[in-house]
Amino acid sequence: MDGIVSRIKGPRSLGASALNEPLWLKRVLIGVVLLFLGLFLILPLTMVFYSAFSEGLAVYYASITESAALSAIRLTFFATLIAVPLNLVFGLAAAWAITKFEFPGKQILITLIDLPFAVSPVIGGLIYMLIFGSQGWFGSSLRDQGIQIVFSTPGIVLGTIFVTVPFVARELIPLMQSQGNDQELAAITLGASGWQVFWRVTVPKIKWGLLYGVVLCNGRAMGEFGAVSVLSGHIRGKTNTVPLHIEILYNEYQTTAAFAMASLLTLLALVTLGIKTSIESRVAKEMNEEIS
Amino acid sequence: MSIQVKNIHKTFGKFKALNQIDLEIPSGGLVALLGPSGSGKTTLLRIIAGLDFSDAGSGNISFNGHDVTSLAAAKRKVGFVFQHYALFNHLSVFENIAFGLRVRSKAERPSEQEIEDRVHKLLKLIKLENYGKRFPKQLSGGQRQRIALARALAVEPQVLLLDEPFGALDARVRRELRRWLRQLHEEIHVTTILVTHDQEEALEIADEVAIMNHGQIEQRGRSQEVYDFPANAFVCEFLGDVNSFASTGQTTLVRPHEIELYSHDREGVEGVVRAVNAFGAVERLEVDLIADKKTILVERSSAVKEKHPLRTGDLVCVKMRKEFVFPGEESA
Amino acid sequence: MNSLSSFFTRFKLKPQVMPGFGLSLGFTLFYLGLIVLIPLSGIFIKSSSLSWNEIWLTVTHPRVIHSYKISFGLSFLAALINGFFGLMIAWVLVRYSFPGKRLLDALVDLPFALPTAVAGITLCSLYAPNGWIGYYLSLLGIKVSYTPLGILLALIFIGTPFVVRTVQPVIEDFDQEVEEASMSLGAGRLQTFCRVLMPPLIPPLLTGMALAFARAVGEYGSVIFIAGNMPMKSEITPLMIVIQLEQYEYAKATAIAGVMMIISFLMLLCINLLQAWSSRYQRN
Repeated sequence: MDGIVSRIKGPRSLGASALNEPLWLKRVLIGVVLLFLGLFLILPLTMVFYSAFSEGLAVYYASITESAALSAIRLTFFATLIAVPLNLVFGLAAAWAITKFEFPGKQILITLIDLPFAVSPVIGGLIYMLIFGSQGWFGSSLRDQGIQIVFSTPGIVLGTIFVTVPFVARELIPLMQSQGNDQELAAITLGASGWQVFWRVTVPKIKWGLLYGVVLCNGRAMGEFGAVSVLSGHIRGKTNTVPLHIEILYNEYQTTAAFAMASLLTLLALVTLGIKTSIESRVAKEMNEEIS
Repeated sequence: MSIQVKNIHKTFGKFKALNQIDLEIPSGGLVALLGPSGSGKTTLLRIIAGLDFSDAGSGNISFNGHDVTSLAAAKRKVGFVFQHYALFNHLSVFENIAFGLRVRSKAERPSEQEIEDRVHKLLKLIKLENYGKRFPKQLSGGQRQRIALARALAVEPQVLLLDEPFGALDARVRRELRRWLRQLHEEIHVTTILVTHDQEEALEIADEVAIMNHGQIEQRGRSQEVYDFPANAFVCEFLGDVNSFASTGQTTLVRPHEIELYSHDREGVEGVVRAVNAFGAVERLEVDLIADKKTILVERSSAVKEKHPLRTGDLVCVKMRKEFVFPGEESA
Repeated sequence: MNSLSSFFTRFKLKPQVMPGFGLSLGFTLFYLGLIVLIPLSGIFIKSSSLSWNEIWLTVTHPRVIHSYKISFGLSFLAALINGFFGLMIAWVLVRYSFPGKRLLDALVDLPFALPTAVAGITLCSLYAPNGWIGYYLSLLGIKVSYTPLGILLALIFIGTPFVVRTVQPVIEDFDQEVEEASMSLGAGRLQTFCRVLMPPLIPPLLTGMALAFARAVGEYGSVIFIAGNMPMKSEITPLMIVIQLEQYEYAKATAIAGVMMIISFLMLLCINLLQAWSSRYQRN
């Protein structure tokens, strides 16, 4: 899923009619694809909103404004508000180091940044249990000082940060690699300082990739389930994020309420996709203008 | 195999790419389609190859008198060489050349031994005998273009079509390959059409050239013929540098080497030498014409240059040896 | 950070013109170490608090063994299915035009953007015996929710974008001339597809399948609802970790996590080798 902004290409011209498949084959392929995507994407999407509103607007409104729901929403925003800026700064630093300099072990570093994608989110939760849990390395000393990390807000924030570490970096690295250093070097020869180069040259060049990375990071941070589930202890009204709240409601057969909460996250996902699509078309347009 | 193109039209949306093209190419000939970019030459070549189709209801393409207008490209037995080589990067050089033989139906496919023999013969022809096992990305541009040519020749095409074959190569390799292509054509004598925007290339390689502009053929003839007797101002200007003089109702074009410079005391148009470029076999001068307030380009051979040296600021008399006069004030 | 910078100065190939090397790399390593590397290394340190025998008994418990089969087997199967449909989706989205194409193209990323818990409850409800699809399937005697088949469906769902998005740009970049060359040499459409178009698609296809596989093996949220989590039947390995954790068996949970990471790593290594082999002609 790397570098979506960096790999946008101009439109392809399919001039030669002789290169096309027979019409019946085209129709069959399009049909199969529509069926597959309809079954796997459209139908679930419809289902979320249908179920959320199946008992009317009043029930929907009550479900998302009930106190446990509101505290779940607050906690989700809180964790996201810490995780996203931290990972944004990390992503910028990592992309700068990797794309502007040559150093030994660069390839290993790139792989390490991807690690949180490669391991199960459950493992992401587990590792913090090992450190801060009651039997963990710092567990007893933290308990003595009355600090609780796991089964509490800090644990949830840590889990959220862990699973979203790679997002901004993965978007920026291929983008900055493809853009090269010419403009930055030009700015340096004109006497700009390091921070001036960064703010005035690099940031404007990568703004769309940066925005896209942040949007993805935000979406995942708000929706993370596995890692947060392990670390939360499921204390209702205290350590439940929106996804965890959905789980509890669903398991208690409060299906409508569960889908009402789910519809909020689904809306977030759709907004994320919308922003992604508009960024893509904007970048494609800019590139076309450059060409012509 | 001769090629006949009759009354071909092609439009892309509103753009008329080809407008009533008629062209005959004799069997074994080597003809260059020459023109600026956008003149329709590549479109014409692609229609002959069957990679594009002419407008419905327009004329037809025949090979040796057989109508192939609606025949699929795969069945035309045409060798097509692309500007950017279009080699199959995942196949070795050997397999690239063998591709056209391997995709034949079982009944027509040569035996493994025959394929190997034929590929080796072609590798020898393109002077890359020891490169069969390499992959295209490991080779230089000139080598890749020769492989593309061998690949096209492997299927023993009736017609060889070359689309700007040397366009992506640097100048030195391009000159080498030109000579090599000319020699190759003399060896195998397959009917060949070469598309190029480089007039030097076209005049050097081809027996005949067809000069295209705005989707039409402006002139067709032997290289020397079109150079010496251009049919119109466009052809004249496209084939080489000219000085143009517009006057009411007509345009006069003069090639830089058809201008003589005399010392000031002679009769003729007066001018002042503005700049002298003396390197190489030909001396190039810029001369300001005093009366016309115009700068012209003059070329002089080294023999003339030595006998009658000129420096910046010298006053001269200008005399045209040969002029082309065409009606109309504008030139393309 | 100065010492770090001078440490790397010795390895430098050319003088650094760009500023900020020490700061950016220093922060990157510090952050990555603190958030990811040190915590992850805890897995192997914690496992070693058990004896080899205990580790072995934990990771070879029949219930755990069965969960490996479910997790790795179904993830592999899902990756294969995603490979097939992903290639088809990418091809159709690049080559054909039809109404709603842009919308569908954007929606392909939905499984990536949709929180896993939402996907989990939605798929579960859809395929439950009283669900929109599950009802009709149950008439045919097919049970999806709370069976391995349900797990497979969830894994196909989350894997879809990985294959499509790795294959799509390669199809977009295909040089039209190469296809024309193949055709002018006498190859038919099917031959052109199999001999010319397919070989360059294999490396990205394998990459996409590997990504889908890796994601599927670790997936928790979207699977846990539809799986039913019946011992020896539909339990996935991440769930085994969670169960051990809920019993405060941290060391045992860690041992299972270690096995999971090692198997995933080995499988990804195999796929990477396969990919390197299949793209060997790319090297100059």
